[in-house]
This record gives sequence, C-alpha cells and structure tokens, in this order.
Amino acid sequence: MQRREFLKTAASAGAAAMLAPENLFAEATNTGATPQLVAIYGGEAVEMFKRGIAEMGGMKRFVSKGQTVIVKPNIGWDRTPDFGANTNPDLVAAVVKECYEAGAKEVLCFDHTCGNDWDNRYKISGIENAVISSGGKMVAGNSEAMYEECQIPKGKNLKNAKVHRLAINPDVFINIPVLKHHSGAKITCAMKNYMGCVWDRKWYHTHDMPQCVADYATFQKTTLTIVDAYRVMLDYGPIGRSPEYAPIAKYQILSTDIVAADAASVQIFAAMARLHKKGTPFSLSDIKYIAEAEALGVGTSDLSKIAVKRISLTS
Amino acid sequence: MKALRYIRITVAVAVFALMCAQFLDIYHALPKPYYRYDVVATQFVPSLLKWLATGAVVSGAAFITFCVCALLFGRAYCASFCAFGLLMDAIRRPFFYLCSRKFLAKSKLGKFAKKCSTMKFKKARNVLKSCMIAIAAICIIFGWIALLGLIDPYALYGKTMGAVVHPVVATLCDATSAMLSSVGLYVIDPVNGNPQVPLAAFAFGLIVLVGISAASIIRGRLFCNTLCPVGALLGFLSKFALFNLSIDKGKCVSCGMCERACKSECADAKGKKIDFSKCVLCFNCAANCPKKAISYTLNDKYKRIFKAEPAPAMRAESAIESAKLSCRGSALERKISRRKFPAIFAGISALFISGAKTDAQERKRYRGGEGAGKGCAGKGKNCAKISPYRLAGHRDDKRLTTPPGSKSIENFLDNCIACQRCTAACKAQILKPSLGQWGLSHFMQPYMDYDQGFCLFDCHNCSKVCPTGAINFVNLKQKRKIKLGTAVFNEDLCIVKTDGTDCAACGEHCPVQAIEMVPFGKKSDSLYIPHVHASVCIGCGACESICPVRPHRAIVVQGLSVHAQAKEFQTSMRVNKPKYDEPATSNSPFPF
Repeated sequence: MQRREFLKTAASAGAAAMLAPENLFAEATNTGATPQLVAIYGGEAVEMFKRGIAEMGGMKRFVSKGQTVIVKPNIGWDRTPDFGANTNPDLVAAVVKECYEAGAKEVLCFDHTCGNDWDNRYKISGIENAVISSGGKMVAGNSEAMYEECQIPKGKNLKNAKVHRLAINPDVFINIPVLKHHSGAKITCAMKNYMGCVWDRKWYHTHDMPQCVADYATFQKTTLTIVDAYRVMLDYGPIGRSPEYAPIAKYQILSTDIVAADAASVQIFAAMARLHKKGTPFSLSDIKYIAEAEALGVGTSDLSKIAVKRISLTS
Repeated sequence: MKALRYIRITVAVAVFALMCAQFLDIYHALPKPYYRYDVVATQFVPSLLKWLATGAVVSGAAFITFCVCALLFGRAYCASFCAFGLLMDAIRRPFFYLCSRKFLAKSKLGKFAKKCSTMKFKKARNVLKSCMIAIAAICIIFGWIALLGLIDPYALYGKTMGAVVHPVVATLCDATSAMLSSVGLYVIDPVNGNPQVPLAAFAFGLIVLVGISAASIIRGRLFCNTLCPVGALLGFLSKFALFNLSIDKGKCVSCGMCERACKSECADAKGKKIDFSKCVLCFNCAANCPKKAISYTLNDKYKRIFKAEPAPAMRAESAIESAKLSCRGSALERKISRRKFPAIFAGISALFISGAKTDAQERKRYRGGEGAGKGCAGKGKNCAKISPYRLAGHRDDKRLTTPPGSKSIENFLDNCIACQRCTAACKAQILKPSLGQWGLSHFMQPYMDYDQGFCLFDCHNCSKVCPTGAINFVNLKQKRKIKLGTAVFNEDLCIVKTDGTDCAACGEHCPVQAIEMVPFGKKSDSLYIPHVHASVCIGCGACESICPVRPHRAIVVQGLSVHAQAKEFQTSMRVNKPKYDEPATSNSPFPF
C-alpha cells in the first residue's frame, strides 16, 4: 500500500510540477474569462458538478496540495435523499473525491444537525456513507466542546458566536447547501446553511434571524459554494412532508460569491414553485438575509454585475 | 457439585453482561435481538407487574417460573438471574480478588477484606422478611409502584445503572471525545443529547450503589435476606422445596469451610445444617466442602412420603403431588407453629396481589401533582383530557406528557417501577427521572423533559425496553400516530409579534406539519407566524424544545391524560393557500 501510495504521490507531484507553470500562465491571462458563477441545468448531480467545476477552472484552482478541506453540506434532518431535505449524497461524494484528486491532504465533513440524534441523521441522509466511501471523514457537530467563541467584527447583531472548530480559519471551505423551502427564512440555501456552523442557534431566532445569518456570512471564509438544486423542496420545509413536494429540478450552481449563489437560487426556487404549483414563489426581496448580506459587503445579488455562465446539458 | 456452581456462574455472567450492555448502550447501537430476546424479561417483580398490567400470563412467565422453581429447587433466581444480586457479586468478588493481591494484601484494606471474606452463620430474620413482603404487597395493591421500586432488587439495580453508571460513562465518553477532537483526532464520537440526570436522582442512585457495595463486601447477600421482598417470598417458598442442600451429619467434621464460603450466611457448620430459606443456591459451600458432605438432594421433609415409592419413573408425578402438598403448607404437619405464620402471610398476600389488577382498574385516585386540580389552561374549566401535572418554571398551560406507548398517565404511573431503563435507552435523552414533577410519591418515575430536546419521530426505544407494562410496545408506524399532547401557541409571546422578526423555529422542527406558518401583519413585511393544527399535533415537543422565547415559551405542549390518535395532515387543512401566476415562457431554462 505504502509503495503504491508513494508512487501515486510521486506521479501526481511530477505531473503538477510539469503543469504548474502552464497553469499559472493560464490563470494570469484568463482571469476575466473565469466566471464567478456557473449555473448548470439538465443533468444528474454528479454530471453537472463535473462540468461546473471544469468551467470554474477545476478544483485545483481552489485546493492546493496538502491542504485540509472542510465540506459543509446540509445534514439537518433525518430524511432520506428523496425528500430533498439534505444535500444530495452523490454530489457530496463527488466533491470529496474531486478534492482528493486535486491533492487535498484530508477532507472533513460536519454539520450541526437539528435534533439530538445527530449520528442517525448522518446515516439516514446517506452523507456519512458518501463521505467515508470517498475517503473523507465525518466529524460530529453536536457537542459544545467542538465549538469555540469567535468575534464577528463586521456583524451588526451577531457580534460573537461559538463556531465549530472546523469552520474557524479553514484552508479550504466548501459550502454545499441544498436549495429548499424553509418555514422561517422562507428559502434556505447557501448563507442559511452556515447556521450549522454555530452552536447557539436560538440566539439567532431571538435577535432577528435574517440579520444574524447575514452577519455570520461576513465571518465565514468560503472558498466555493456549490448549490444542490437537483431536487428542490418547494413546500413544508425544511423537514419536508413527502418526496412529492421535492420535485427533481436538475439545477446546480457553483459560485465564489455566496450572495450571488443565493440570489440565483431564489429565482430557480420561484420558477419551480410556479411550474409545479407548489409552495410560494418568493421574490428576492422576501429573502431578507440576501439584502442584509449585500449591505454588509459579503457579495452581490445583482447577477449582471458578475461574470455568469449558464450551461444547459440538455441542448 | 462443582459443576452446578460453574453452571450457576456461567448463567449469572451471561445474564449480568446482557443486562449491563443495555444500560451502557450509550450510543444506542445494540442490534434488535437484544430487545426481542430480552434478558430483563427474566426479572421477578417486573414480570409480575407486567402480568398484572396486561393480564397476559405469558408476561408473568418469570414470576411463575421462579415461584415454581423455588418450590422445587430453592431460590435459583437469586444467584443466577437477579440483577441486583449479581451486581453485589460483581462488586464483592473483584474487590476481594484485588485485595488479595500482593501489593494490597498486607495493607489495612487487605486485612479488612480478608476479615470480610470469611462469612459467619446468622439466624434468619423472619419478622423483618414478612414485613418486607407485606410492604411489597401493599405497594402493589394500592398502586404505589414507585415506592415498590425503592425495595425491589431489579428497580434498585436499574436506578444505580440508569441514574449513576450510565450518565457517568456517557459523560466520560463525551469528555474523552472532546479532548481527542481538540487535537484533531475524531476517533470517539460524542454521545447524543445530554446524558446527565437531575442531582436528586443521581444522589439516590449513588447512595444505593455505595450502600450495596458496603453491604455486599461486609456481609455478602445481606440485602437479599433482610430488605429484599423477592428474597423473602422465594425464601419462604423454598422452605418447602422438593430438593434442597443438606449436610450429611455422618461425613461432616464441622471444619467451617462451608460457613466461611457462604455468601448468604446460611451454612451453620457447628449445627451441621443449612438454612435453606436463606440460601441463594450459589453452591459455594458444596464446592468448598473437603469431605463432600454437602449434597443437593430430596428434602428431608418429603423423604417419609417417598419412602414407599422410590421408583425413579414416579418422580415427575410425585413432584407435582409434593408441590401441591407444599402449597397447602401446614397441612403436612398438624401443629401450626409460629414459624408457619410467615408462610400463611405469604399466601394471603399472594391472594391480594391477584386481586390488585381489578382494583387498579376501578380505583379512582386524586393525585397532588404540582398545581393539580386547579383546572386546565388556567381558565378554571375542568378538562378530564388534559394532564393535571404542571412543570415548575413553565407556563400555566404547560402539562407533562408520558412516553408513547404508555396509553395514559394513570397507566404509566401505576405500572412504572422507576428502573430507569427507558431513560438510558432514550435516544434523545429527554426521559429523565423525576423528583417532584409527578409528586413525591412517584420519585424517579421518568418524565419527558422537553428542555433537553424532543421525542424523536423515528425512535421508539422506550417502548422496546420497558419491562413492566408502564410503556407498552408500539412499532414505529403506530408510534408516529400517537398523540401525547397538543401544542398550545401563545401569539402574545411569539417573537414574530413582539419583535417583528422572522423565527419559525417551531414550524421548522415539527415532523408532522402540525405547525403552519401563515402571513402576519403587513404584506411588505413578509412575516409569517405559527398556526397550530391541533388534531395533527402528536405532542413530541419539538416546537417547545426549540422555541427561543424566555422565560416562558411561546409554544408549549399540553399533555393529555389519555393518549389519543393524531390525524394525518391534509393539504385541505391549510390556512395559507398561495396563488400562482403563470410560469414564464422562455426557451432558456434559467430564470436569471
């Protein structure tokens, strides 16, 4: 095993050494051409991700050799993947694999689940299996000992919070939210997914939740946001009532701008709600945390301001 | 005889290990067979209670078996199956082993242990034992099962395991996990929920544990022959046992080896006899006898009867015959001596016990729980359906619930022996031993503490493990429909109204869509406030546990006295029905 591993690393190191100058050159000249947001439609989750990450310049753009990658999917609920309540496990598996291929030393995955049976939720969502079979590690998020007090200097309401150790100054942090309806925030996606990084969520609820969500987004380092909208839960979120309310939509968004990812997702959600006549077709102004985050300078919700690439795999 | 001792030890080790495994299953990872072929079903008092609660003879199998066993062979239950007795042995044996090691043998502790390990014969305390049987019988007749749980050996074992060992082990695991994870090792997982129990329960469990450790080290099975009602009852039955341990007076040289080894202080080397009513059938005496003078044979009392017909083929029949005879007890001997009095007492109390079930059904009791009798919802109306039990520090209309499968509060409190097995098995760790929540006479009977979390939608562990019929088995499909209570929402406390900000923590967590978020205030505010569909609510407490409003929560669960069936949510029940404009017709699949 060791010898094989050594050969592998040697080979990849060699390849990297050979390719590195070329890559650097490509980066330097093509900066303008690399999109900040890639939206893909019409394929399986893994297929869309492969295409999307290639368009974004490959995982190597985000993950360097020997780095530790933190993956934060949504594993909030004890629901099977067909409910669309948690991130698609196939997508998570593909991301973990891609990170390892890009040279990551270790890929760790966690979420602060909603309920006392966190291990059960890791299992039922299929994400534990997906991560472990791809070589990654699952880390618990249910114990207060894992969280450390952090200052959030740019926060308006949320000035400090207990943040999961893995989310503090990560090498690479990949956010893989699922797009779904949410009874409180109306729509939950990228920024709302970060509530799974903090310990005391009740504090959010008592201090203007949308503002707190936006405040936290100013703090969390995010390398890449991958929105899983393969299934979109249109109503009865965030738990979901039955798979019937989470029709297959076949969308995916990759973005370096978390606010833009949320803004694009809201529009996909509204279009799906109209199409399937389920749930409420919320408008961008209904989702308060997007505007708050934009005001705090986390990103932009105006998609015309950034380079957006739209890819349809059907045509 | 050594073989019998080894069989006894093997059975005891297996029973004890399986039983402890369930109490120490802190990750709730034991496979199904542990509960399907449940070792706790062998416990004496729980089996009797389940028999009385369900009326099914099969539930009382252990009770019947060990009673018959006592009439045939003596107290086989005490040293092979009784969890508390095995706990005493599990403390005593390793303690003496450790103290006899070189590094301790010479110390004060070692000398003390050596002194303790030599037992002496003590006379039976028949009056005390009869009193304990009487107390147990009274507890069962009047339905004071929680009090019975303070003397029943299984319940005491459960209390030490559930309220002391389980929380301590779980907390240690949690601490180790935290330590390792701080250096980047994610090897041990933290446990689910908060494993800690209220201090009073922990203290009580600790007192029992310390007390029984001391007693078992100094006097062996002292508890079993004094305070234990099961030991007393089986002891009286075993006086008439068909077979018993006896010393062959011809072979015995009164060397005292048996007396020293006897953990229940029943072997009398000088008098060359064994008090079989105290004997727990550990066979230590016989295994230690250098002259092989101790044998397990037909009771002397019956030798006269069988003298005429010693053919082995007749044994089975004669065994039944003798059992009948022994039931009649004093009929064998004309004289009714004072010694026979306890046996008659046992017989009478058994009659009472059999009548207890009908009593329990017809009896109406008025309990003095916190604020009981003040009417429901603070409105002075008398609602029979709503639980009368309030919870200190909570809203007036918050009422306690009992676990799914318990049918009603009355059924739960009347049958729960407070063994803490469900509190250890609870995956969310929300079942906690009570102090005053059900009233002091229900000390340590569990209550559902929604401050700790909520009853998980896909878990029915408590109903799997309850040995007494306080919580009946329900499968997951049934469990998801059982209505323990109803969420009561107070709009005036809700953040959406008081602060004008989004919250919906309750609606978020509701597993059955019983909480719908409906538009609130101006449309431009885009605010939504909870609306409870009461008939759909199952009372799991998800909303209450997550509601961030303090000191009083905006939504609380009002428990029902008698559990009901919840309706399934229908789309037609919706208050807020969104309208849809036509989907945009565009060739591009992207709406942006």
